[in-house]
Amino acid sequence: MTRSRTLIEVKAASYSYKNTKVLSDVNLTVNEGQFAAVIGPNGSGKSTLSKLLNALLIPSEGSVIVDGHSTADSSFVYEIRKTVGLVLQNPDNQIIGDTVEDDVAFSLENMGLLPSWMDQIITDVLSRTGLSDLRFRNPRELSGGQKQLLAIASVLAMKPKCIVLDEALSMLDKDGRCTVLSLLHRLNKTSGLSVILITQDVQDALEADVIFSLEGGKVTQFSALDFPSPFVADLVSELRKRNLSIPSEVVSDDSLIRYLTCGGKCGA
Amino acid sequence: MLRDVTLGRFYDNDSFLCRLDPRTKLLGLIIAIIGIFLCSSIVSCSFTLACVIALMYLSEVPLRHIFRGMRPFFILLAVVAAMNIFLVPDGVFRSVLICLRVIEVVLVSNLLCLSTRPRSVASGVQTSLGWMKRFKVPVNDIATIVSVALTFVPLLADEAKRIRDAQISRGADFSKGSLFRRAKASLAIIVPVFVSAIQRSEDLAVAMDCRLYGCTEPTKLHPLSYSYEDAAAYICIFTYLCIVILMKVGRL
Repeated sequence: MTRSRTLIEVKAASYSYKNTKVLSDVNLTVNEGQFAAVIGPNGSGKSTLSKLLNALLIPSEGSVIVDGHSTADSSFVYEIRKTVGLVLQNPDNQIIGDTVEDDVAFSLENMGLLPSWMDQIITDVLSRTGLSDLRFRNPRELSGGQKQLLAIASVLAMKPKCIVLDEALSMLDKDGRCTVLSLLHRLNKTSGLSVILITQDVQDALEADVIFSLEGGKVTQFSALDFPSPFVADLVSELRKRNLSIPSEVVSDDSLIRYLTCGGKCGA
Repeated sequence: MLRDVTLGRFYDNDSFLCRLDPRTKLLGLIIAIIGIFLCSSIVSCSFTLACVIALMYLSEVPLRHIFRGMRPFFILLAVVAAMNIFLVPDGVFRSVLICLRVIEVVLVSNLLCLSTRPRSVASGVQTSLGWMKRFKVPVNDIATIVSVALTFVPLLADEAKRIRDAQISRGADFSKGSLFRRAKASLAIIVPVFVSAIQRSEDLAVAMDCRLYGCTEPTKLHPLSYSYEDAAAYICIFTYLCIVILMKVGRL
């Protein structure tokens, strides 16, 4: 696996809706097999950036190069969307099929594949996302986390090289977040899939290879090591080094205080 | 009333009606409705009613479930019946007949929705209208619109209920006052639901674009295929049509 090849390259890209500039002079590169996180507050242009990456929007200045093709070149649009899959925030709004397998099949049907081939891909993708048992269920009956896993499965069916998650964890509960995050890390490690995790939560970003911070339409790059991690995270990891087993739910000041004052008995 | 929307609420069981090909069911629905509106006598109406009851039996959907979608229609029916009774000579008989026909039509359409997945309805429409592609009619898009609309109706109905509860908790009252006042109050539900529907549709459009909608001529995971059960159903539909026409001609 070559980890060095550049997959996505954003070169001096700007984007404005009418008169308001949302992104200005953004530069970033994501390599094949890299786990990147983009963090930024509301209205910092995160969603716009995610749409630039798979040719849903074309930058007004600068360019976005995906796997060697510029997104401005309309003859490669489907090629680019196959390479970079996008998962949105609200799982309910991206479910199209009325069974789990039907939803995964949507992109395959659009690609014009043969039914037998589709069946094979669906089986494979569902087993990789751990949804095999739910294959014939109605997606509306699934939990939030499962719905988001389904959205990821549907994107994976296209065999992308990169998956972009636009705040896809923000509507999930703790368990859902954990499942989705660990799946993403697993896919990243085992299949060499690049992941771009767009989030508001610094915690989700800490395990990434590279972190981009987006603020006021500008991007700053950090490596995961020199990212200013929150005090709690440092403290917890130091305490763990001193053989204190602190559960993974302890992520905020409050939960750490509660955990420590209860002497570890009542959990987080 | 919002809870009662059956549109798009597929009832998943393995009944005869559920197994039929969507094309058969769509044609059956059209023929059934034509038949029901051709009837103008007690005898022929009883015949169509018997057919509807037979369909309800074949669908194996609990009666409670079928009739849940009927509640909003009773108001309409009451108005129609009242107008007929007071304004038309021989009104009682006519209004009973009209109500019966409307109930039958609603029941049959409900049965189609309950026994068919929205996506199957779409592929039924898509395949049946396939010949229109030659005239540049966007059949695939029409079918997608139908299926997306059907899947999103229950979602929006749930949302409307949530917004209604939220407005009530803030002191809104939808059950008191004159009709005009109530209509005005319901704006507090309609506007937010409308806004959220637009946001949802935007999201869905993005999701569909990401998943290569319109990339090439789409294929189907489960291509439609007729079984011997469909042949039986077609015979029944044809027989039904013949009987209704004969009754009409024979003024029965």
